[in-house]
Amino acid sequence: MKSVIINMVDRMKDTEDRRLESLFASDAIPDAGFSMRIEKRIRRQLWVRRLALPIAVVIGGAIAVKPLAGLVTSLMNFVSVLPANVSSNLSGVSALNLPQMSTIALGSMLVVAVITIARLFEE
Amino acid sequence: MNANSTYDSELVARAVAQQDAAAFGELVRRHQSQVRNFLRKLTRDASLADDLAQDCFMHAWDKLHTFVGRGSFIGWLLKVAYTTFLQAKRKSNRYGEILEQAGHQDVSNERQSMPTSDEITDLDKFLAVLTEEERAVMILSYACGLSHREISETADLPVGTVKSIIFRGKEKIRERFEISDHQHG
Repeated sequence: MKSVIINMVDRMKDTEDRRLESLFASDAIPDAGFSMRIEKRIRRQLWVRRLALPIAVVIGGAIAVKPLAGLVTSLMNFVSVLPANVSSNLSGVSALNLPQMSTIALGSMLVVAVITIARLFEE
Repeated sequence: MNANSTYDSELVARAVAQQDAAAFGELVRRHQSQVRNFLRKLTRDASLADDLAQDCFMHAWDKLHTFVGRGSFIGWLLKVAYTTFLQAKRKSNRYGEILEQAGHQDVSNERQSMPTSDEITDLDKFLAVLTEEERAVMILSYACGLSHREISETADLPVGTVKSIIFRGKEKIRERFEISDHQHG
């Protein structure tokens, strides 16, 4: 008797499920260029990503070239006006002014942190 | 795992490893109908659903490397679609709140236009009595044919909760529309 009741419940459940399935069923939506639009957007995105870095380098270079040239010129002028004995001692002076190991390590960590944060922002 | 899902995995691998837009395009062609149908039932607005479907596939492209092939690709895709829907809804709610504070009408609701009275189907009536979560779970179960386990992964809910939501949803539909009378009659 008990098994009959369970079977009836299962059958009712199946009927209801089938009815719900037929109610929720719908025709397939034709593609009608949908996938092509997605593909085009992806290709465009890929090109933008590929071009972003070279373009940034070119723009950055174009902006930096003038001040950099000015800096090199003034450095050359500065070295040329220095007396000969000062110029010969310049290597010793510059060695003292070189950044220490701890500064280099700190700077490297800072660069890595900035790159990581930039990537996180991008994601 | 059937042959179709194996092939899906191969396309995913190609799309990820070679940034192959054509491979991903093939995946879109295969699954666009199911994703768009899911979103259309969820939003009850065809044009909004299609916009969301486009966003969904773009998100899927960006996150494709996270698909590890544990479940079916369509299950994973529907999860992305559901997340896209929830994010858009949250954004539109926030946008509506800002407009309300500024003294404007809630235009975000205008966009999610309901069907006109002569377009309302039995399914619309059924879906209208369900909460958003119940609606999503019922659609995933009865329209998309996902198993309880797949729904739990898609909707980020425990399997037990999925079962009770389906039970509750069916109960609501039964109470309001007396389905049991039809099926016994």
